[in-house]
Amino acid sequence: MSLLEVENLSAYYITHAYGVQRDVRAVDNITFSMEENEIVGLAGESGCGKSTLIKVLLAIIKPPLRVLSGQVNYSYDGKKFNLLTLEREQLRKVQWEDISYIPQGSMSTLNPVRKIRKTFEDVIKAHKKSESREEYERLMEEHIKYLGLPLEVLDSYPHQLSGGMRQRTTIALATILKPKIIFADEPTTALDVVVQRGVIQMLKQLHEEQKNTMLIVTHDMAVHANVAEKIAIMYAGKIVEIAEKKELFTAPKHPYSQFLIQSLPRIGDKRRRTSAPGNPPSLADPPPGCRFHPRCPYAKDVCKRYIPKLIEYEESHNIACFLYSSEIEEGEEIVQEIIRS
Amino acid sequence: MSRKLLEVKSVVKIFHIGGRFLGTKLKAVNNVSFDIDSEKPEILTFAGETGSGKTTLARMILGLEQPTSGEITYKGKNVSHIQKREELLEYMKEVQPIFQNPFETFNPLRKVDSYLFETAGNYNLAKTKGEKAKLVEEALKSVGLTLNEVQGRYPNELSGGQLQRTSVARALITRPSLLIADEPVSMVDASLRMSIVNLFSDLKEEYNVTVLYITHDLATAYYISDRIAIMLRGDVVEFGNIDKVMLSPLHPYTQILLKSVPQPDPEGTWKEDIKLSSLEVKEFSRLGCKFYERCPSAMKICEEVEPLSVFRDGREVKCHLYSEEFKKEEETLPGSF
Repeated sequence: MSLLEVENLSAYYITHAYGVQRDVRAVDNITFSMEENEIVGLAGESGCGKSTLIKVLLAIIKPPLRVLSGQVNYSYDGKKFNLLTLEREQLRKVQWEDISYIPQGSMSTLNPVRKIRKTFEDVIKAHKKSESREEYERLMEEHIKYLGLPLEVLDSYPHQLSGGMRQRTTIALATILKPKIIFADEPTTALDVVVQRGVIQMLKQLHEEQKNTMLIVTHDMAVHANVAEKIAIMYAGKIVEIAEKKELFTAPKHPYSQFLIQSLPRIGDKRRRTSAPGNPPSLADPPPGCRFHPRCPYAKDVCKRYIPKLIEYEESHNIACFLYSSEIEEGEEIVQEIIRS
Repeated sequence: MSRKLLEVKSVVKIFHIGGRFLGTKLKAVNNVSFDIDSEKPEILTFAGETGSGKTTLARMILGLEQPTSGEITYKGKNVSHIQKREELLEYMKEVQPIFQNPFETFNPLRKVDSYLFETAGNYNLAKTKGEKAKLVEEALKSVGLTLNEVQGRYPNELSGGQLQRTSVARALITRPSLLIADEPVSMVDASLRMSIVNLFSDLKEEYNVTVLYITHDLATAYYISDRIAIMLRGDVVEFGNIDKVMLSPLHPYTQILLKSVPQPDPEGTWKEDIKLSSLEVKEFSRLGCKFYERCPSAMKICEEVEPLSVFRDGREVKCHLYSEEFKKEEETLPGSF
């Protein structure tokens, strides 16, 4: 069994205003799995549901976000559970200790009126009650040193650090308890290239040492090319393609992935690049059938009516497109019923 | 009239950090000079890491910040200390900004098109509503949008790409000759990034607009620019033709910067580790070369003496590696001084 198995997961933002219900279908019937000790990259446009998917996988679900269907099954060290059905207390134990999170926008994740040391203490105290003060001071300093950060960081306030330093501190905070699986939400966005490289270097180093599974979300394909082993492409709340990194960069199959790979600028090559025509769809009112069909140059009649199922096209290369199979996704009606009730 | 569109002459900007008496000085922009030809429109890139003074330089050109010393002239006229309102308006008409985050540029409670009409009104370009609409329509057309698409819409109803295009259209209403785009694509995702960047090169070709493109994204910089300036802690360390600088970089910092650009190529991953800068203020106040601590080929002279800019292989480079070599050559040349 894989470390993480996601089955038919749907999570919508459901709001009611003046008697009108509005559903934003951020995570729409997603099925995928992650193996142990694997780095998976999740790519897609802004507003396609990447961050929402991570939130659901971590069970950080606050209204108006609601999980309508599906399971998030973890299994490691002989433990097996569906994260979405855990009790509050159990959830607290699992989160951060086994399943950790590097949130988006590290600039604002650290408490501005507490020294970094205090923030670290809070995290350790909450999870390891038995340890003495000396013990966790040692743990903290060792971890900071190991990641190549200066020890002065611990006695500074967040505003005294640069953006890159804060990002690296956040990563240190997320990994101090040696989690099994780490979800990193845009860890390199808004950082410049040299610092970005430092952050990627740090994530790789952590992976080597702690052997944790990572899911890295970013829209920067070049970052994926450097870190990920497997890449999943998300479009309008759905995963449209999952493949090995090399395969995806050299032979993308789904038309959207093809556009994405084609449009990447490379130094030393000035040929004109074009991006996918049209605009990304609104998740509140997605087009019927395949979500990509209004922008797809190969759209057929069937694409306008039915949603293609994510199938295994080749070994470890999954695609959801009618160009490669004719399987139709099921479960759409069930979700519709749940919404109505 | 001078043939230069914009001339920046040894501009320095010093900020004070901390208290009036105890605070330190921070040279955000250190002795930067460059000029842009008015005959030939181009895309000039300023690249560098966070805190290298790119944005401060842009703000000074826009007149939002005044240089501590040095001068900025636009079409032969000094614009760094404009006092009169009419003159300022005249200058702002020619030089327009485009900002970083399209979602924050527009007030969420205001309709997007109101910004366009307001700009048309502010510069006395049109009196009646019909005239304004015509100007707006034209500007929108040049960025590939129509008035129907944006009229009566709030920012949340448009996608990031559409908003950034509207932002460019707003800047184009006054028919500027110079656009200052401060990180226009860093908040836009990969697939839309190319459409914005392509828009700039189209504007250059069709409307003769010069674009000052400020970015840390070297891949798109290479894709559209004609010339590039690499900035480090307030200094321009390398400046010249894009192909020269990016394909055969001379300054050690440019070399590291280029090596750090993640290439969308699964084969080309990095092998060796790099040194990251420790504390920014420390680097800013360095006496010698600002890159001394991180430079793989640092020499003794770099610690104390600030290098001079020298011409080398078609570009300006500010590094002792080349200025020393330069001096030696000067000495050996017969009849040189």
